[in-house]
Amino acid sequence: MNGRCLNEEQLIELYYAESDCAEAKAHLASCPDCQNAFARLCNELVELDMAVPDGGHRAVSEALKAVSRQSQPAGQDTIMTIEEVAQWLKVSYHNVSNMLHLLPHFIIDGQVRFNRRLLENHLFNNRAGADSKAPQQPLRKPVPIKRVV
Amino acid sequence: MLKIEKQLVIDFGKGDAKAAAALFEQLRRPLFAYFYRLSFDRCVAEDLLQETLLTIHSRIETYNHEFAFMPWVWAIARNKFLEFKRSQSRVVRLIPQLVRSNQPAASFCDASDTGADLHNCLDTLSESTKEAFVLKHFQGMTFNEIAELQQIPLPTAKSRVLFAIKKIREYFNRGEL
Repeated sequence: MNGRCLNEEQLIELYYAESDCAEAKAHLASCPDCQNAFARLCNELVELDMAVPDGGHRAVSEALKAVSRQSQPAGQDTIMTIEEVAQWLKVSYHNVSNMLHLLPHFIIDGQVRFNRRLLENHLFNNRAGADSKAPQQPLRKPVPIKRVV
Repeated sequence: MLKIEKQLVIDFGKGDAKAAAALFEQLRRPLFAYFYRLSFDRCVAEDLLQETLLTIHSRIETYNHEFAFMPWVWAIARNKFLEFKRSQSRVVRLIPQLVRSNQPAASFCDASDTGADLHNCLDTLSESTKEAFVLKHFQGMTFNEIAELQQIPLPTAKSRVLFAIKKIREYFNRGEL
């Protein structure tokens, strides 16, 4: 080895193909000591292996599920008139106007307007309440069957 | 370093589900390998990968499209791992008797013995040195990219990798196999 031989840092740069120094490459090509040192380093680094299993599928699928949940549009926050609500609920105009005191609405300059999201929530909550309050027993008494003689 | 198509990132930013699936699939392998090599625990790697992908999704508005995408992703991944290490250090303080054995999770994973030896060796290094070596040797990053990611000067990045290689050589020459 002489004073011009490559140090370990230069050899590592050459191993990882990050050396732009033409002089170092030329020296490596001509110096047997540096070639031996470089070959030793290559053997050592090539043997360093840490096998990684083929993983990450669960993480990707869970992340995609979360992303799709987040990107779903929230309830449409549109404003509707009585006619539109009637059309949407498939009832008559008068049904809606008669039920006005039961439905969430607001009035702008004398005009009745509905927020669709609030209306949806209201209808959904009322339906849930109605389900829970459903009578366990039939209200009507069973009609006795007449015995035919 | 992995190259991601610019259009894919733009579509992902607009909320395209197909772009999200394609992007996550491209990021899966390098990020999982990075987390696995640093933690040597498959479950931890899966969890950190999921958290990283979700953070990428939630913070995509903050990404500046004039710059490369992957360094931004690596910065998020690195922060996730540092957060995890910090939380682990708190666990160590609270219940030292459970972690005193210093056993890596190698027994629970399907890695080779050589991988476990290398992991034990890397565990003797500081986190920053270990990370620099993993990024250089396994992830194929350049010294410049490592320096940028770790926010250190270029010579420091080189010296960290060099130091790690010297320590690994010492470890294996001592016959601690």
